[in-house]
Amino acid sequence: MTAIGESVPRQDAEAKLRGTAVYGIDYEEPHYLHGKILRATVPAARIVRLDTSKAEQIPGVLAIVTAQDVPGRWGFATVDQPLLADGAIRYEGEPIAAVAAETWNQARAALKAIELGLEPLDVVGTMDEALAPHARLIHPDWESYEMRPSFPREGNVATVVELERGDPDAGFAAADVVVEGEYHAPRHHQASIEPRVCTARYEDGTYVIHTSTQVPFGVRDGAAGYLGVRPSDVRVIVPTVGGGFGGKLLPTLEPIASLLARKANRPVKLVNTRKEEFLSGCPRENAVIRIRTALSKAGEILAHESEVLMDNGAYGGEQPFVAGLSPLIVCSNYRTDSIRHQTKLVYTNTPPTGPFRGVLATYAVFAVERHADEIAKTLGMDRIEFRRQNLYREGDKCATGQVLEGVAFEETLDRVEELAPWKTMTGSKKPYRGVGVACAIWNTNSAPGGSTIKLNEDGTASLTTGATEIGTGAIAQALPQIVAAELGVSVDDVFVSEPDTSVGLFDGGAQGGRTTYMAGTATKKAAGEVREQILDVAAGLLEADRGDLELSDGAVLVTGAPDRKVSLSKVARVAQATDGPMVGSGSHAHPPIEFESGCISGSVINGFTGATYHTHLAEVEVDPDTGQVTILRYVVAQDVGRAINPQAIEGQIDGGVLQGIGYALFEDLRLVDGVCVDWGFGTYRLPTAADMPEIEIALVEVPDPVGAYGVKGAAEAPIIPVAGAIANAVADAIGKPVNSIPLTPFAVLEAIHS
Amino acid sequence: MPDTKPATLTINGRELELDVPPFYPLAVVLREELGLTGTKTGCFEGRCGACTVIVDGETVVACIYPVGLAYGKSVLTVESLAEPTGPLSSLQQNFLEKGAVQCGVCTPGMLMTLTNLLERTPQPSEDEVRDALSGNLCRCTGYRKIIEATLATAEAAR
Amino acid sequence: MARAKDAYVPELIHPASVDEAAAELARLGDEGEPIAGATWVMLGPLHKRPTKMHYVAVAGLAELRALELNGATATIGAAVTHSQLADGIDGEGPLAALAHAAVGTPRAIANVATVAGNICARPYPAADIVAALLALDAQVDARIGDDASSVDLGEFMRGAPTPGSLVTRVRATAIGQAARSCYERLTIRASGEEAVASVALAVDVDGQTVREARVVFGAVEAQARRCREAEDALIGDALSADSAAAAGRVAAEELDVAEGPDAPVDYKRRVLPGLMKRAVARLAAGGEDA
Ligand code: FES
Ligand code: FES
Repeated sequence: MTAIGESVPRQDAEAKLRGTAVYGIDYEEPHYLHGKILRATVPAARIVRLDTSKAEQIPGVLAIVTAQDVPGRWGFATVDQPLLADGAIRYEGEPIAAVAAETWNQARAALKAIELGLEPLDVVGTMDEALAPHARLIHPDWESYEMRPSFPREGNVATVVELERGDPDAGFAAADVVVEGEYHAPRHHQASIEPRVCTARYEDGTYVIHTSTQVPFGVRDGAAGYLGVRPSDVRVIVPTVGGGFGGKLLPTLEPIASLLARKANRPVKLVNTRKEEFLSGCPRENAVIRIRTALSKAGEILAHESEVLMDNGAYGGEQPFVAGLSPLIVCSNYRTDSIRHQTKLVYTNTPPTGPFRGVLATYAVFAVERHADEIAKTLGMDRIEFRRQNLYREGDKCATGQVLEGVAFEETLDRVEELAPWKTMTGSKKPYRGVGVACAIWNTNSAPGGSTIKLNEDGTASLTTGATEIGTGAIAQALPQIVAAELGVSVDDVFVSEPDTSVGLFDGGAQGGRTTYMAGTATKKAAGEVREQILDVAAGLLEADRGDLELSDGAVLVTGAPDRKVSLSKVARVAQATDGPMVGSGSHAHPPIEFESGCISGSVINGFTGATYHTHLAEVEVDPDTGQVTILRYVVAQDVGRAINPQAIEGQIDGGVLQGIGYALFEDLRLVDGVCVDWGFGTYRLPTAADMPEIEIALVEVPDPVGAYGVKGAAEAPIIPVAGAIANAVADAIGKPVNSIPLTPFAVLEAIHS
Repeated sequence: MPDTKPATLTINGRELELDVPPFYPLAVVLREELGLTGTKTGCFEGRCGACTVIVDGETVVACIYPVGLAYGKSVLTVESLAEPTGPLSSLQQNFLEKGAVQCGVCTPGMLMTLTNLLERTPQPSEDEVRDALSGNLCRCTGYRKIIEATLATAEAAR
Repeated sequence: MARAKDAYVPELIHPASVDEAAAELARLGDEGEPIAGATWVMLGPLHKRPTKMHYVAVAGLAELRALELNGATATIGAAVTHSQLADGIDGEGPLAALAHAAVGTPRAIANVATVAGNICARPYPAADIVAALLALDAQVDARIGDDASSVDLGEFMRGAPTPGSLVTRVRATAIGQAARSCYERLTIRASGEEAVASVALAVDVDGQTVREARVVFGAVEAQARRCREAEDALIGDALSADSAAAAGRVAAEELDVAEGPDAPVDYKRRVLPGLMKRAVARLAAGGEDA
């Protein structure tokens, strides 16, 4: 019996369907207090007065905290962000103070009673304004901020990533053709349906935090930093999570709730309203991408030059790290050895941006693939032919000079071709109909992780890990499937405990498609250890050679002699009585990758781990009267290494593609002078059921050398190529380039009329 | 002056008397007063549908439905779809089998909307299912498996 | 536990009859308002709209929930919901505009959102039912205490709300003998949102020729707006994509497009011809979504 490759249902589905699963929004502690946050209503100001004395008099108010109450500082990369505004307001929505009260209404009344005196500052609302000569510095003291590791930065530029390899100048000098393009992408909000929410209490010197997070260990570290305590003095436990998509990676509410809880000596629950989600939440950054490519007439790429501006918002968060991925994706897909690249991350008086599924790749691939179509058009080449000629092949080098192995672009193109033959699709052009394709290479996040597994006395297995289920099924499906396969038990007999940083081994979090890849591989190792112990004990009990034993159906049996077997329950009990309880643990980190050192600065991401390959094809129809884009057909070929649970992967592809469609067509978190326009689901439009086209999916399995069973990340990537495929299809449909997303009806109609 | 109505309402078949102000949102009463946290809230703007419940046979978004309007009426929440120790409803079972649940926070609202649809329209077309979901947002699934599960439920009931 | 019991302070009065409701409202004057589904009121604080201290619940009053149809005329109780209109009115008949206007709202809102709620909500440029009713020459019946009055919907919309009054019903009539109507709404997503522009179209045709027409645009100006110039452009010709587009272009000239976060002003202007074409195509298709 092997559970690998089977579409078993989620372990948590029934509780979710019955309404009994306890989410962060449902979790309550006895006599908890309601917390609320006073947030800035302007994007830039100096705080000249902050008086909480009246608010403290409001009945039921037990604690109020301001910057003065925050003992420590913390930053994921740059230590630039105070937990509560400290003298300056740098974005609309920035937390200034927080209160905890017996009732929600008392908390609200207390917020209103806080007296705040502000001196307005010029709003540096856009990257252009921030980069202008003599622009006001958003962080006048930037030089004094600690940054780990230390990347180049200067004033309003939070970090600079540079890459140079080969001889790009010679490439441009030798070019027959140079193609240039500039591409724009909007802010894109994760908008998980469950908002950020947490409950904290202070108990015996430990902050105990139940929070809806993707990265419990990250929250632990961040909270400890702000609270000025050791990470082990913070215990993070994760109830059921109602969606993340990157929006729940960093500590936000948790340290604030912790401070309030300690001061009030009562548990405190903080929940963001939807408006707070939009104002404060780390959406995907808006960005500008410029690409120049030098080509020979035959379509060979001689050199590639690119520049990216990423809007950091007011504070850095993870962004200085994420920016390091930029050259790998922007200077990518197509073979060339002469590359020059620069990415700048720019501070503005806007809400801090942050990781969202696929991070910068959604717009980088949009730019790269629009650019590829423009190149093909300029050269008079077929768009697929240009791709087949230039896409990375086995042994080619990516931007950093890492030699790529297991390259699966061909396979994904072939599978798309089988489902939607290019000649047929493009053969007879109908007015306002178009076809587009986009290819992408993507990374599997390889932050380390570990698991422990115990064999229970009843022959079932319990898995403990810091890895977190956020809806993808990695913990509710894939990991139990791995344990079941290794120990020969039913998936129903594998129990996974909720993440608890005081109990489980470290885990890098539910991000970057890494859970099955890294925690799954660690889990396979842990299961392997248990398996070895089972075999040892069973060999004795069965008086058989270890090599003749197999694990199946909750028992150990001798191959070829089905009546000679012993149940796992017996094995566990015997082991417990003789050696003590049976446990195995597995730890996993990715081996270092080789690249051309010295070609890149400002980045710690030197190449791909668990690289996956993707081709998406879209066929669209544009209404010339209204600019509305209808997706007629959508095809996905995705390399997943090995599909542990095909149905779960399809679900990830469905969801990722629809998020990509929202991004391509209408999601746009607009800011005007730093003020948020789209603070609700009214104008921040999430795709609905009627926006979902039929999707045809082909899974490609080119095994990874490191991941268990050859597995690679599968959940993150499907969002990445969507905007590129759709934009190429729209450009084809209207015969005009479309280089800014979203392709709202407004933008498309404008393009048609231009 | 007319009487203010007695604060009695029937929730999942049980008659209850409540002591809450009439403009308390029904969703908050269910979740915080009655512990029926199966009903989720995602926006409090009436736009995500996570809080959808059925009042006297019709769906409403409970986050902006004042409890005072439900006095004397019958309210059904996700907890009513299956007996706590009994099997899942056919729609719930199809959600489970087709993989229509991911994070699951939209699921209770989806189930209420679709249970109601299947009562009104036992054999819906795919487009009718999509239309019925126009007020229920799901950020995870892309809706495809939710639609599949609904059509499979209708098919099985044929 | 839970939120403050004083979080939602207003009083909710449940009258037993329309007479009682009217009397209560007259007594309360500016201090009170009728509510049916309460969505507008519940969202008031979020949108920083003023709220009242007393509300009179009218959704349970059978008289106000009655929908009477008689050929080209509908008598619609004030508390008739969007769902009642969507289910009760023939989407291919003379009053089709109302049915089409009602289906754009997600069911869980449509079940509680009422006709009177739609016409009393201000500012609400995208109120679908208002646009459809204007194209059907609607009259609004209201009471202050025992004093009943009736006013043309256009005039009702232009006026300020009258304190203490209760809208009791709306009467809509499709124009002429060969009346047909429809409603088209343009959205950015495929469903689940307010229109960024909409048109209600009612025509009376003589053979092929348009004898009379009503053209009302929603979500373009601050309120639904009847456009007589567009109507004139249709009258005397056969309905066609060209005549529709021409009328849409006239409207684009005439209408004073309001700024809003939903769509750019230029866009709203630009799509009016296309929207008119869709509406005319829908009429030609007998009310089917063309
Ligand atoms: S919480 Fe009620 S619709 Fe979103
Ligand atoms: S399953 Fe997560 S929002 Fe629907």
